[in-house]
Amino acid sequence: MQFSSKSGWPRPGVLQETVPTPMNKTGSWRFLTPVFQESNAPCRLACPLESGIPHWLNKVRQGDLQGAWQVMQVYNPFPAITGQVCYRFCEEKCHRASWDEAVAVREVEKAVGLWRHKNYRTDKTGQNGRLKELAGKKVAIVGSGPAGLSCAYYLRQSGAAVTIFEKLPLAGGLLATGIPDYRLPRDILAKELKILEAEGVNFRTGREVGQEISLPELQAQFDAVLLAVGAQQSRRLQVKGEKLPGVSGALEFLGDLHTGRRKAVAGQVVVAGGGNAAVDAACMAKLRGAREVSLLYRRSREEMPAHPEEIEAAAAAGVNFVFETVLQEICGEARVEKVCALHTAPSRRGEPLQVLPETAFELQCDLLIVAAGQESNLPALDPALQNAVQQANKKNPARGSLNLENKLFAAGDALTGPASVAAAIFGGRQAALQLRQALGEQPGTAAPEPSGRTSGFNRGLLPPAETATPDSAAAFSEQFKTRAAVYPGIAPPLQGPQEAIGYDNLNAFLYPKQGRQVATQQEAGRCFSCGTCSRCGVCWVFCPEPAIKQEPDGSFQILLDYCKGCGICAVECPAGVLSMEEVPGHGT
Amino acid sequence: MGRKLLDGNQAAALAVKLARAQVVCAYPITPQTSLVESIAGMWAQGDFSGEYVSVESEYSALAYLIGAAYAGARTFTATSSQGLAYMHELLHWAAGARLPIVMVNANRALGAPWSLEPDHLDSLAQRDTGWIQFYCAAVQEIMDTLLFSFRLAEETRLPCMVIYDGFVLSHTVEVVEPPLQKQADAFLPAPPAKAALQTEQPQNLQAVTSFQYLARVFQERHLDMLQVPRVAKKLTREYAAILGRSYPLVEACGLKEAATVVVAAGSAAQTIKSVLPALNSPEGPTGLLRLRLFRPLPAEEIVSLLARPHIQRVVVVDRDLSAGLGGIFAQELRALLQGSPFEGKICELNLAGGVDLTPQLLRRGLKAAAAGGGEQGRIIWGVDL
Repeated sequence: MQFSSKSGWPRPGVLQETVPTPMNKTGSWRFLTPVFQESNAPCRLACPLESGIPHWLNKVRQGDLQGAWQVMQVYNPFPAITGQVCYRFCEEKCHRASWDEAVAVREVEKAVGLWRHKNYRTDKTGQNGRLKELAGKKVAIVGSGPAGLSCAYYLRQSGAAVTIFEKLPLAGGLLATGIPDYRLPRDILAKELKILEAEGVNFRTGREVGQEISLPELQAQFDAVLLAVGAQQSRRLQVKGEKLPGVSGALEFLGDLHTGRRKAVAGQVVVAGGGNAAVDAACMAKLRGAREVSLLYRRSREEMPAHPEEIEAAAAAGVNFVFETVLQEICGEARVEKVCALHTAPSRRGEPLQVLPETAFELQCDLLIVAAGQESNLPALDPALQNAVQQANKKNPARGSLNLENKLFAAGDALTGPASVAAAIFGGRQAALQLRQALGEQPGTAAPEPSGRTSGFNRGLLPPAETATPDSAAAFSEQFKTRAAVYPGIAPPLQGPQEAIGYDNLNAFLYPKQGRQVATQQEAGRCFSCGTCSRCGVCWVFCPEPAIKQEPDGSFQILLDYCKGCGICAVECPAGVLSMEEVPGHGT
Repeated sequence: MGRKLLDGNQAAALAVKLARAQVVCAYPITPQTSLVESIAGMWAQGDFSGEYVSVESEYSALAYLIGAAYAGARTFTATSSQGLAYMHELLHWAAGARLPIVMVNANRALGAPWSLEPDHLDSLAQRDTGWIQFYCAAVQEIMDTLLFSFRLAEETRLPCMVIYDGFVLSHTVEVVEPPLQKQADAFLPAPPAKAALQTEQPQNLQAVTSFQYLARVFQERHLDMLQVPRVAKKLTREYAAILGRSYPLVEACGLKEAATVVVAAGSAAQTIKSVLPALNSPEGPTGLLRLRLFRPLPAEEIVSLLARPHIQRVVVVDRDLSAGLGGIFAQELRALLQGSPFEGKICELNLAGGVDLTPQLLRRGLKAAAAGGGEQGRIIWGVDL
């Protein structure tokens, strides 16, 4: 054995070569064989985008933000946005939480996104390494929310000419009008839109499909159309006085504030509803000057459909929560003056609501914001579309996007109803995948997902060609081609049974909880790489035989000629990618 | 030298280097392998001043060292499991000849069946060979104890075995602070130059003898063994004065108020120590007694530490089994505490086969002991919990 370090201490990563005793092939003792198998990390399964989180975290850990972006954008082209607004579904499921504290995935994601914003360049050719698969194809996307933008990004990367139609004068959909600006600073959105424009996405704002241009006209002019129109149709409360001035839907209220149609809020505000839109509206009302904001929800805080993160933010902003309460009537002469409400008996979501008639009370109200849920904008565009969605759904349930008819697709909230930004981006990505197929892209360029078995650990990480020096547009372009050849430009959705890899929390007691205030690279280094080989070399350290071999590129091989099958590698592998399996013919 | 990240085997190898061992002879065996590899690696790079000798078996390794020790050399070997068993005959010889050989044993279960689990029976089966035995609980302790053992062995002229759990300590990296060479030299002077065997004066050593003489040899060895705790305490003070670290022969934790005392050796004790505050039961707090020196058994220390009226129960954790009797540590404790208030109150939690002692398992074991299990003949089996 040779060690390259001066002191002669063996350490993983510095082992130059392993020289087993060639004659002594102890592999013949083996009746259990280590098997390399990557599994699903719980964060990835929790992520609406099914993002390969351990992969890009590993790139960040290596200090390679360019590489991290390359991996990231396969799943999510807008990490700067999701890094601000995502509800951290991944962190809820992070195995590291059982050890000390979940990895701050969203913070790292944001850092990757901001790196991209800072380092984005267009190269001399203006092509930026885009592929030519869909060159000459024209796609219209209706709606410029996260689903539409995401689809535009991926189609543009495939070389299609993309035009986005937006009925409002500003692009971004809910990102621009719905999500409070304290959650998503608008300069981040602006930068994202600017990059898309630089990539050649054509924005036509203030053009409402159905008004300025009809859907059939679009279909005639473009090779394909994606409807990513969102779900902004506010449901009604069905109580008396709902038509009075001073009553507003939550999204209308938020839209008015963000587009400048409403400058400030004053007086007593009542919000009815318990979802994210209700909480966002309540928060914004409070922040924009309302004297007092009361949020009425028919069940308890625990039952609120809004994300706990939002609820906490609202409580911190000073929103007054009134639980187990329903609106009975909205009163006022020329405009809303007060609301009458009733308490309800405690109930869980899904259970019938029992109103307590003797508990009526009144609340002064200058502005009532109704947030009783939203519905898809598709029926408003064309009532037949809802029917088409139902029909298509019956045939093949939608996962993010749906092929409605020939070259007509739908994706995002318009399809699923109000979900999350991440889910909408996933929908756009899915639509791009479907569109790419429908527009005749040659199948077979997509590499398989990292699953299945090999005798080596090579598949744990993306190939070395992924690592690059940032700032170089040419390198970026070259990289992109390499990447496109080995990795799907658009990640296909996960297939088959989706079980997360387990985690046996043995030693949590040894380590105190850690604070979160750490550098991005360090934080990424906290990832356990669950289910994904991170080439940490622990298998090599523990293998009692020369049966684990490190290749010059850092990957590992199992030399079965020398593996006695003791299983220590499988016990010790912190990522859980090794398991022991019985081999027919041995020990039987 | 500053702080380093080392695993148990690397720490042991570094201690052997710092001790300026003159002859190292060993045969590789899992989980000891990386220890001798490290020494061989240092030797190949010119970083190790002693001789490294490769032989074809553990038997030859110890035989070689016996010769080297007769010639007055400071000697070291390391092994595990079957390798130690293979040395058995010569272990007796080294002790009988009063050769201060130092060895490491990284615990590993004896076959059959073939296994790599950290069962303690390999070293406990050598309990009666006349070697001093230390059981370590952490990587830093391995390094310190090994350096310490060379001096202890040479002062008492008794061979010394430094023992730690295979993989759990041999392959697990911890932060350690290696002594500087000058500190090691200050504690451990050069080995005595006088050799038993001299080429100019050929002799026949340990030749055939009568029972009268043999009885005196055995008696003397026993009496010298009994002096080990006293010598070790003196040397511990010296070590602490130079390096600022010291380890008791029996480590006590939280005994001042404990209602239940867990007795354990090796890395399991470290696990128990780290969860002690979380182990308080309705009966009261739980304490730990860690057996670090096992041969000779520091009887006085154990008895005086347990002589507290609030201690209701003693639970001995054994990762070994003398088939037909039970765990060896439990039996030693029962013999030692015969006639004390603990008679009949010493429970045994048995992890033979290398069962990993997790906090959950420990809790279940303590619950079973509180429910009246684990007394003589009623072992609480870790594998059943």
